[in-house]
Formats: sequence, structure tokens, C-alpha cells
Amino acid sequence: MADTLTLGHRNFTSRLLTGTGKFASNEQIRPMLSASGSEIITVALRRVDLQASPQDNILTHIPDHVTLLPNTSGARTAEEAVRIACIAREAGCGDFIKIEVITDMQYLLPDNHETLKAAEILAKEDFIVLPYVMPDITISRQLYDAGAAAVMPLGSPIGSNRGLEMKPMIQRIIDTSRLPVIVDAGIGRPSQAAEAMEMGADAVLINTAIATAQDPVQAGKAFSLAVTAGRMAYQAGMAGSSRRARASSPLTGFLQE
Amino acid sequence: MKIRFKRRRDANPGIGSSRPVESPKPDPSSLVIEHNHTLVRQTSWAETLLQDGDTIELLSFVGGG
Repeated sequence: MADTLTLGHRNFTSRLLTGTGKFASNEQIRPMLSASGSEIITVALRRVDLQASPQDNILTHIPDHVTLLPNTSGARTAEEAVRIACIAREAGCGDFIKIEVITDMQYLLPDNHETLKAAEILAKEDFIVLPYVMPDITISRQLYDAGAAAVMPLGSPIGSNRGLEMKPMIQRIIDTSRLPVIVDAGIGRPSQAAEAMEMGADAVLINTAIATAQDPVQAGKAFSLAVTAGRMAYQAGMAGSSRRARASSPLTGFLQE
Repeated sequence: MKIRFKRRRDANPGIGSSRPVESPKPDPSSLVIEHNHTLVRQTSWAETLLQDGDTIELLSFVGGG
């Protein structure tokens, strides 16, 4: 049976979600998606600055088979997140929404309380709700009850490349959550993505680490391989570690005996 | 006629004006337009009539994580 990631009514082969932020050129997005095999990618919604030079249309850089995951970045309350989600869906971006409600501008840590409120509303409106949250098993359970499609705990602050600073809490969510767990934010290296997958995460979302690599296409491929390796290792059921050596060759029948 | 572009200075779109608004001409396909807080689908742009005092919000999708 195929090992698929199920979010709402959709099945995905890839367990690597990507983002469109921070690329030196939007022309890098399409080849990155091709190299990484990512099937879900985030976009943001912003007011057009009539004074600034016009930007090209980010959506033209995303192939049709890739699912758009608009985020609600910029929202400071549940109401603002709901508004952004509704605009994105009405604008033709589909049913997926990454809820991102942030009031802490130093660390960009999410507001779980407002996020839960937005999730409750948007799930009732038949969105496929992917909420970005501080790792906490209570919010994970509450999001399940609210009808979210996944829980997305952060590894470390957005764009920090610090990896799994929240590792113990993420493990507890993985151990207890009835929702798919997608580790979002802060993963800076393929090894960290593999680590999250080995722990039993269902997927990871990587933006900064891919987009700001010198070669984002190669980085996308590297993350893809790491996610696959980590997933396979998790499924293989890796043995635990010990403080002392455990011989891998027989301890009997030595030639000098 | 005055049209309010939200959180921008009020802009006169040039109707009856000697000086047309200095528009940067973003790619129309990239625009999401809210007219008086209601989203207007691109297929309805041509038949959407603006009235004095209306509010227009121009949005677009951009790179984000």
C-alpha cells in the first residue's frame, strides 16, 4: 500500500511541503518543486503597493498539480485570519489554508488561542485547516476537536534555521496526536528534517532553508531525500541507543581461544 | 469621482481630472480586488460599476512561507 500523507480529502505522495517566500528569483520556484517533488506550497496575500514597482504573479510559477496553501500571515487575530482565508478561497486558491496568527514580532511565535478560534470557524466553513502552532499537546487535541486537518508545531522560530529546538514537545505531540503532525518553521538543514521524520512526524514544511540556499533547486532535492530517508527510518523501527558498546561481531570462537 | 484605495491616500482615478493617476500597472491576472469589502471575481470586473465614495482594495498573492 502506498505511503501517503492524507490531509482532509486529499492524499499526497510527498511529505515535504515548501514555501514561496524569500527566493532570489521566482523563476527558481518551478525547478525547485520539480527537484523536490513537493506537492504543496505556501503563498501569502498582501495589499498591492501602488508606489512600488510591480511584482510578477507568483501563482504563474506554481504548476497546476501542486496544491496551493495560502497562509494567513499578517493576521493578529482570528477574525483577520478568517478574512484572509475567505479571500484566498474566493480568489480561486482552493480549500487549503495555513492558519498563522502572530502577535509576537520578535520571535514570530504563533498565538495558539487566536489560532484555535480561527481553526474552529474555518473548519466549519469546510476549509482544510493546517494551523501553525506552538508545540503543545492540549492545542493539538483542541485542534482535532475543532476539525483541523493537521497540526503544525514549530521546530524553532520562523527563518531561524535552528532546527528542532522544540524536540521534546514535538515528540509528545507525535505520540498523542490523532492529527497528522507537520513540523513547520525553523528547520534549517536536511539532517534536521530527517530527524523530525525519524521521530514520526508525518511531514515537514521548509521555506527559508530551501529558498535562501545558494542553489535552491539542489537544496530542494536534498530535503526531499532527507524526508524520504527519515520516513523510511521511522517505518523501519530503528533500535534504541545504549551508553555502552554492544558488539556486532560474535563474542565467542575467537582464534586465540 | 473619488475612489478610496484602502490605506492609501485617496486617489482620483483620472475621471474628469487633468492628471491621470500614476498607476504602476501590476499584472492584472495577479490582482485580487475587494470592492466595498466584497471580493470581485476577475470575470466580473468589467461589469462592476464604481460609485462615488467606494472603497477598493487591491491585493495579490506573493511569496510567503
